[in-house]
Amino acid sequence: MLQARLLFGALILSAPLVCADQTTAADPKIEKGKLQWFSLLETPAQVEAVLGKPAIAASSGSDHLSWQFRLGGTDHHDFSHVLVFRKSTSKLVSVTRLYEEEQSVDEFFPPAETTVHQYPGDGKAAAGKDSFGVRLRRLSGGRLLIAMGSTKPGVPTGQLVLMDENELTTIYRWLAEQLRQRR
Amino acid sequence: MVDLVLEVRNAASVSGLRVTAGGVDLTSKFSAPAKAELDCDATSDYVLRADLQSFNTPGTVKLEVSLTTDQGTVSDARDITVYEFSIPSGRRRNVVLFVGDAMGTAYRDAARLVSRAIVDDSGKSSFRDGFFDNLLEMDKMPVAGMAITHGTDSIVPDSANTGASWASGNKTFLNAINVFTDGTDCKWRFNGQQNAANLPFMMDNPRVENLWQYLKRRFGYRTGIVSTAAVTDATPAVQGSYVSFRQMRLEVAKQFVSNPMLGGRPAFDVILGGGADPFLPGGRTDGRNLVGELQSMGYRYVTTASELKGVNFGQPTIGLFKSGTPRPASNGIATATDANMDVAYDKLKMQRPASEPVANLGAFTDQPMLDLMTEKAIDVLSSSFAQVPFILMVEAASIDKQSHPNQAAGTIWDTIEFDKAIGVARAWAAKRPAKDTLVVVTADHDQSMSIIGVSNTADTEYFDRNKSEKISFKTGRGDQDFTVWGDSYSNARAGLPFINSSTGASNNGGSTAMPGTHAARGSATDPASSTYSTYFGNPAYRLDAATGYPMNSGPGIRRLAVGFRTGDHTGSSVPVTAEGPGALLFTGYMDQTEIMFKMAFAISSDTAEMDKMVDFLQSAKFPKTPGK
Repeated sequence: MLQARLLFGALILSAPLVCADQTTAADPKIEKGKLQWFSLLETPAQVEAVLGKPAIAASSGSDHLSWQFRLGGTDHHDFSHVLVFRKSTSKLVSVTRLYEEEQSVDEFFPPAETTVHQYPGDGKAAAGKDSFGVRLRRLSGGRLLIAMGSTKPGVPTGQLVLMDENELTTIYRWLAEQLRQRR
Repeated sequence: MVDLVLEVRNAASVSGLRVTAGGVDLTSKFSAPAKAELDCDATSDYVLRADLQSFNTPGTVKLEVSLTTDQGTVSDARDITVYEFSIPSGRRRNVVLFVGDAMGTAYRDAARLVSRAIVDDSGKSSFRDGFFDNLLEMDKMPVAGMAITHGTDSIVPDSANTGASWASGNKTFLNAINVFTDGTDCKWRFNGQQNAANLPFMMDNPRVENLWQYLKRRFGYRTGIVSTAAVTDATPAVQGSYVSFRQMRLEVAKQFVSNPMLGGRPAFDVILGGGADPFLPGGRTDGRNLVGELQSMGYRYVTTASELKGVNFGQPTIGLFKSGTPRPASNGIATATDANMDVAYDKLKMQRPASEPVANLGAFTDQPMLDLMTEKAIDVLSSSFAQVPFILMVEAASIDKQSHPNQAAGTIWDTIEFDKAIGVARAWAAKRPAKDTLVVVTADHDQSMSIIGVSNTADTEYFDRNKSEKISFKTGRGDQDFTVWGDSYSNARAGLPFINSSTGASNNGGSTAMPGTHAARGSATDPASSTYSTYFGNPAYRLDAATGYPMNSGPGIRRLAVGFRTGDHTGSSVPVTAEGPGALLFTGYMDQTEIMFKMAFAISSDTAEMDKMVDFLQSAKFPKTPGK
């Protein structure tokens, strides 16, 4: 009897989660020509309904809470999904999808909507070696989609980041400055 | 040496710094105040640093700091305990530290039950009536204790922060190698964004020197690491690098060659293991050829067991026996592949059970076994013209790496390989007239394997890759798909259900990567339906005379049955055994950090009285454990 009740609960939880104008899924995908992923409007409870309980929850800095998940084929040392909330508001501010095997994310970055940004770094990149850069795409709702270390189609990435643009200066001040200058 | 870092929060300006340690003015050692981004908030912060400082007076030193901000005068104080360390003239003590990665008590037990329950042609077993004729090499060491392994941020640690414990004597956080947490960790540590753009915040954590560099820097010790992992993996990395995130492989390799504690000199005289990629130009973002740089400094470079066999004198040596396709990872801090050496079971060309992957050594068919690597490392380190002592770490990495996917055969044979390497060091130390070599065997952390019993699964079942049953559970948090293989009731998971303890997916590779669980009895496709698992009786193996390892197939085999509770580390304590001068120090329960201080004490102190006590225990007349 207990098993049946649990299963019933699980079926309710498995129902698609509708947030704002999209269906939330653990991984980004293209549906009807549109990118479907987190809206960053999800509450912690809604995130838990999609991804389950995090393997690790940890406070970070003065006002951040990190939820770290190991889903799918992930090395035991790494996480597959890392989500960060503001502790004071419970606002979801970033989602990082970590791929153990780097993979192409070209479908999420149509060239017409994508900009490329080079990390200024220390200028010590070796001859013939690319300095670290990212591809960036603006999405609705003030969201930024960023492919870390992938500056052109065909170059895979291990880190796909969805971030609230208001948080960009917190983590990537150099990138926020480049975006400001381009406006 | 240690970095002293002052973090000043919520200050628009900083001036008037004064720092004293035991009354000695250290102010001039500190950098000017630098604007910093602490805690990922909008406040104005500063950092002042005095890198690589040391304290030369033993005792309690009060570190006192005062400075002025726009908010007023701020002061703070800390007590630092400084221990005396000196090596009397003429004393020469070598240390060989063996680390079985994840080698908790069950792993040692499994290696013993497989390699020491050998049946000969007459049917006589070397394991009878509950006793062994010949225990493991690590069992024969006279002193044993237990080490507590928790980290600063998690009771279940990893190989990085546990390694920092024994190498530097300090506890730290998950994935950290000989550094402490700081105010900029929020930039990268908790958001999954460990990449080159965040390197400035990953490279600023306060560092603390480990014993390997300390002994080389102050006393000219020769130093070495041997591992079956990529040599930039966490366990070997803790002896020669200082990074906040274990996957900063490019930085780890660089520090092996240009070590910050040694004024840019190489950290080691011997490096043997896998993982050539971060040492080669193609694998690095800076294009450096670190192997070439070492060669230009006089190092010999070997890449095969055959070449290693020819190494027999003190020339510094780097041996990298496995590589991938060298290219940097997209994150700009690692290589795309971490090429660990193949495991003992595969190097021995033994047939894998049905649920374990088929071996593929590729182009790397001439990889050395760990006992040869240990022998050659000791040869190199002990035969310097200057006759200086040495400290060496030897790691069996794939006890852990095979336990994560619950591959029992791979894990157990790696532990047996490890024990043979311990035997090499023990034999070498025993021949030393001066009895000047301490051998310590421990693990960094435990994993969840346990000894269940024995199984008489037939070879036809155990190796049959065509006979399996798929089981699926549909849940609201994703499907759980399992495959039950013929060996699931034998060498890996006999008689007990595999229990996946996590929620939405497993904690190692997700449900698809998990091995079989308990199948429903009576199923027409149940591969276990023709087998009989039992808890009764003893394991029985045959010895392969050509390799010296037990065989895992053939007539008369009764395999050990083990189970795994998870596919990950645990927070259980791990055994420590020791032999040689100062070994008695390692008795009892201890925190893992004590291992470093005890090795240092054994090197620097007169241990004659405690060594006599160990001799007494060994010679005392009472019934001793057979086989010891």
